[in-house]
Amino acid sequence: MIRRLLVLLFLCAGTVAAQTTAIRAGNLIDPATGAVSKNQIILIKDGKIAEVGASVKIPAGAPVVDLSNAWVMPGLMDAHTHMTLGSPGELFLEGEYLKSSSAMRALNGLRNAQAALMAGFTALKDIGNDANYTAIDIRRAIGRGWFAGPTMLTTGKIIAPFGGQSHGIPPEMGPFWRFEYQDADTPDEVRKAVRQNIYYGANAIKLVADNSAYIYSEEEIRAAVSEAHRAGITVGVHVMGGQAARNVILGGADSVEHGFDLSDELLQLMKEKGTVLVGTDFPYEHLKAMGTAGGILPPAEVSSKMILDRLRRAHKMGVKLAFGTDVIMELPGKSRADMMLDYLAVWTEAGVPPADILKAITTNVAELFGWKGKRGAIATGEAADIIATPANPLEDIQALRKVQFVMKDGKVVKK
Amino acid sequence: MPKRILIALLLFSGPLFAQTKAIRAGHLIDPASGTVADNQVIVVQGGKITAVGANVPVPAGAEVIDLSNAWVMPGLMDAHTHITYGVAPGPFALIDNYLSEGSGLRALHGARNAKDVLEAGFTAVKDIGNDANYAAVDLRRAIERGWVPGPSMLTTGKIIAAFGGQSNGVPPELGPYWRFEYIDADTPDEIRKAVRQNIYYGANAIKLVADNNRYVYSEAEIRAAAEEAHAAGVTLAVHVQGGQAARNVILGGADSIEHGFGLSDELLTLMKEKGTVLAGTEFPAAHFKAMQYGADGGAKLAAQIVDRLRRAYRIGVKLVFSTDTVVELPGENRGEMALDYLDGWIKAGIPPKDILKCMTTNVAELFQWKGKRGAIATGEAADIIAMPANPLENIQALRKVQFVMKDGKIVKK
Repeated sequence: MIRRLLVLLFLCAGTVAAQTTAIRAGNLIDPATGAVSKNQIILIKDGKIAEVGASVKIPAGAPVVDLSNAWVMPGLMDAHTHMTLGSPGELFLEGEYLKSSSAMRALNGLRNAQAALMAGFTALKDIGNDANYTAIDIRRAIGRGWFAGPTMLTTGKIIAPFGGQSHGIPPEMGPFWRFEYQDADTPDEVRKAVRQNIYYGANAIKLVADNSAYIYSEEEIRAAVSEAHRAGITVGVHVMGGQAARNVILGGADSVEHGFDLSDELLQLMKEKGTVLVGTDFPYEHLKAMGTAGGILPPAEVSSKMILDRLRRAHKMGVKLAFGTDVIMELPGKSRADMMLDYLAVWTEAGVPPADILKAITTNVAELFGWKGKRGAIATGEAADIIATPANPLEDIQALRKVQFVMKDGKVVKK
Repeated sequence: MPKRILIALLLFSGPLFAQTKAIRAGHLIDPASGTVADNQVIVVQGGKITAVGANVPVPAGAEVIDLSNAWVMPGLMDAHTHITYGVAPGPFALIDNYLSEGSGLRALHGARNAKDVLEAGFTAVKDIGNDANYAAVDLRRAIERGWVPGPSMLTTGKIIAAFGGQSNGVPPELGPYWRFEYIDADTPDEIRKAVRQNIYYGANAIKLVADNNRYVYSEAEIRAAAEEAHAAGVTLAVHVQGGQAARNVILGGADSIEHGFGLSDELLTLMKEKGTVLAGTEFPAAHFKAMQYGADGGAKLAAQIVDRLRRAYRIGVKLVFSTDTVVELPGENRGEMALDYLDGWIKAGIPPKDILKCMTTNVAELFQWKGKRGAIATGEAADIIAMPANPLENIQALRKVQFVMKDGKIVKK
């Protein structure tokens, strides 16, 4: 027991053992191809994968993790999370501002990030709504070794036209939404907003293009994209469909977030331009619990059908899909990770085969994150973010709900 | 192994085990009296101690925790911490870290330290301010909600002080930069309002700084704070070194003096008469050195503090264990650094049984927890620790805490 506690303690002390660790992987899944290799040896050194193969030799004295009966694969990734947000029941985002300070939001996000890691998510993007840049603080705290947690991209404050995603705030309250949004109403303002976020530590950018009576123009999207790309980071844009989505795609955004209302024509355009769809394919029960936010959102029955149909079409057309969740509330008895994994059922219902889901929850997210060759595969030189399940997720994707082993940057977090 | 992980996860998910637990305690220490009872059974249910004694039967179905070879006692308490604050060794300037860590990061910093002190055996601490924008108050809430593991906390929120707080030499162009962590209060009325502001934002204790400026708080100003705090049912702690300021603090009715490095025998006697507790924050010389304190690295001051502790003990002032770590020593976590403060108590010649009382019973009384926390007795919260050696023989045994239970949940085993 003391030994196991030590493992946990090491996570917090940030000590990296320089020694080599070996994993015996009974079934090693390559999610990029959907292929399985039997009886592989993975060697891990300095947080990275040093060697993989069937006839790799285990150095004398190296600790061996026996996963010879398990299904081993790279850690899961979620391209759309709000780690620091968790409202109980009917959605009223602005109300949350009054209940939780930035510090409280940071602590809630820490809890959620730890739950996600323990469930097998070794990387995620926090896509904003993090009060005063608190997801960035969580990323820093994890980076300093204060806590074990996933590798994070964080967007900081969401850039949107005047009012952010708020509705009907009385004028007396002033720009209340600036707790989480930056008002940017011209290409120049969009550029400055991107720079502000980068100054405060964002390593990804998020815009909301069509949550107001007016939408972002192609030029405004392009301003954000050129500014973000110049800083070496990507842009994800919240957009549902129609002209706004066209502006987002033609403006060069790296990903469309949500896109519940994308037509076949727009999906085709995304495929041509290489725009990734982070579809945040909400399960019906989540939509039901969230409600309509006072009539702003469509009823769960309507939106859940839209989402399912759009995912089916996008997959059929070959749009590049990245697994993204968007959990923003708390359901009784479920951890944040449980709720993230609830989204898998929607993918299955849309007829997406397990191999394609696995690719969308690992390889595709890693590519969107700009991590090709760094994270998201079990190959020499990649970060050792490795998980294992007792059953084969290529047969039943729900096997991902039973992750038994998690290694993060070469350190065993769960065993 | 999955079971052990579950324990760790439960700390984050918060559900309380309803299951009854029974601890077989080989040597049960009562720090209030310094006595030891052998072979005791402690029954824990719903986070509280429901029975203790040699002939207490283990309830059917109870999870039995075998500590029959260990020394068992109530959890340790620290009356003076800055849990969200921590800077690297070097010349110490309190406000430097305003520019490096926002409130969110400070809260996370505090969460890390809270976990470390809890695992070292500290089941209760007072956070005495310097917590950015009330980050320790948020940390307390997160711990109470079961989001993160940590001790029970008193939190003072922003420190109330004369204009400028504990800052020095901030250029006028920067404005009241120190208000990140201090409330300027320069009259009794301003002090009352400052106390109310802290209580509104969730403080459950109050802290003033009385003599960190060229002017000191008057007796009337201290009394305003004491009255206002007591009216809200919380206690008042005041940072003061000695002299007239300390007299004002004692006569004004503060519950505790923090630091008091320059207290004369006469003032210590006055504290004893008035029942003012001394939270003496007896810095180890190594900590002062890491802070590059003064021309001699704090060596003289460390010796002066030991002398003050010796005199306070001899005179019979009520003492509480209190630390004040703000500089993080390489290779030591916050729990280990807290226990470094035992050195001063040993050097001052205080017997282990009195140190133990100052780390448990006396702090619990200062925290107004009599009958609730700080003793292993029926009805008390189940905050229980154990170690392999007898701390009544060698107080350094506290450095090897092997078992920690917090509110009935096992945190370390």
